[in-house]
Parts: sequence; C-alpha cells; structure tokens
Amino acid sequence: MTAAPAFPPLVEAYLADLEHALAASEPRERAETLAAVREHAAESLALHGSDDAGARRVLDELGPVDAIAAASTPAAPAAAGAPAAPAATPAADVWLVVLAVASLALFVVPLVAAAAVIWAVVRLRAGVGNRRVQTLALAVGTVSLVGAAALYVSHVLAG
Amino acid sequence: MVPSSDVVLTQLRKGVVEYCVLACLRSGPAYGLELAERLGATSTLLTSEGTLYPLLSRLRQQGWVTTTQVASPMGPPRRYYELTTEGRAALETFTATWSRFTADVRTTLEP
Repeated sequence: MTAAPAFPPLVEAYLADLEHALAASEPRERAETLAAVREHAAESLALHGSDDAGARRVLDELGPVDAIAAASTPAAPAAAGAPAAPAATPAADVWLVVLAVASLALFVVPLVAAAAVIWAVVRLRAGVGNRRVQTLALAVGTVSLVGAAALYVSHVLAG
Repeated sequence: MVPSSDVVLTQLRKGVVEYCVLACLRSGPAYGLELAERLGATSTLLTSEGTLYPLLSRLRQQGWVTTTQVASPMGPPRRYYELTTEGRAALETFTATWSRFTADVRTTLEP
C-alpha cells in the first residue's frame, strides 16, 4: 500500500471539490473516479512540477469538477432502486388462520368457525394485512360452518 | 432555439466516446494520463480529461476493460486499463455499425 502523495493546496482543494461534486454519483463510479483523478494529478505533477504553475496546468487538464460530475452516472434513488420487499404477513392474520384451522377441528362448536369467518370478513373489508391469508381463513371457516350445519341437519333428520 | 455547438457536441458524444476509448486501448494497455493523450487533449471527444474517469469506471464495471496496478517510476502505482475480449467484440460491432451510420448521415447532410 502506497501512501497518498501530498498535493499542492490548489490540487487538494480541487480534489475536495470533486469529492463534493460527485456526492450524488453512483458510489463505485465515484470512488474509482476519485482514485483515478488523484493518480492523474500525481502523474501530471511529477511530469510538470508541483509548483503553482504545474498545479494550475493539472487543473486545466482535468477540467471543471462539474463537468466530471455531469459525465458520471447518478446514484440510483434508495427507494426506487431497491426492489420492493414482499409484504410481511401480520401476526393478526397468522392467528386468524390458526383460529380457522382450529374451527375445522372443533366444527361441532360452530362458534369458533363463526368467529373466524367474521374476523376474516372484517379484515378483508378493512383492506389491511395479507388478503390471501385472510381469504384462506375465510374459506376454512366457511367449510367448518358448513360441516357444523350438516352435522346439525343429520341430527335433526335422525331424531 | 438554435443549439450551440457545445450542446450538439454533448449530444453526439453520448454512446460514442466510450467506443473511442476502447479504440485507443486496441494498441495495448494504457494508464489514465496516457489514455487521455491518446484521445487527444485538444480533440472534441472529451469535454476535459477528467471526464474520462467516470467513463472508464463504467467500462470496467461493464467488463469491457480491466484494470491492473503497475509500479510507476515516477510516483504512485499506475492503474493500467486493458481491453477485454468482450470489449474488443463490442468495439468491432460498434465500428461496423458506425461505418454504415456515418455513411448515411453524410449522404443525408450533403447538399
């Protein structure tokens, strides 16, 4: 690892300006551009002398920092650049499914199924949480209710 | 509004200069300052030499050039840029297309 060369103040100020001008550029491109411009400056200063005239010559070669920034790729906006995360299933919807499945096992007690169906309908109408999970719970709860009704009817007919 | 020649140049450089940089690497690897000289300090290809570096970074990320650090006799190590096989192929495609394109432009523009 070679230590960064000490630049004349004029060049240091230019590099600081460039770093600032590239603040909104794509991070990797920004880092590589800064490193390459530093190398260019060091090479050119070694060639032409690091006095004031040499420093001005280097800055003339490199050109305005704004022109370099304009030639760089803008960084992708964080929100737009990142892929949308899949919506997490809220705990309420998980419990809703648990209740619906439990109602299937306890279909002789239709109160549980009725609670699952009502809760699922309320959440679906509210437009909150995971709709697919809520629809599943609604379907399972309905099956439980139908089962309970069938059991009741068969009892009545048998009685 | 009539555009200035600078505005026209800025538009024309887009999609062209990167291939000119690749073409300058055809003869062999070069470090930044050397590459800037090959492109011609006074040519219309670059706004200024500094604008070469974001472009080189993109070419490297695209896999069209690779970089290697080589010790320099006069200062910090030099970052040499070298054309990859893919970069050479991209340049060939561009060169063939460019010939047809410029011929058509010339034919259209000639009075």
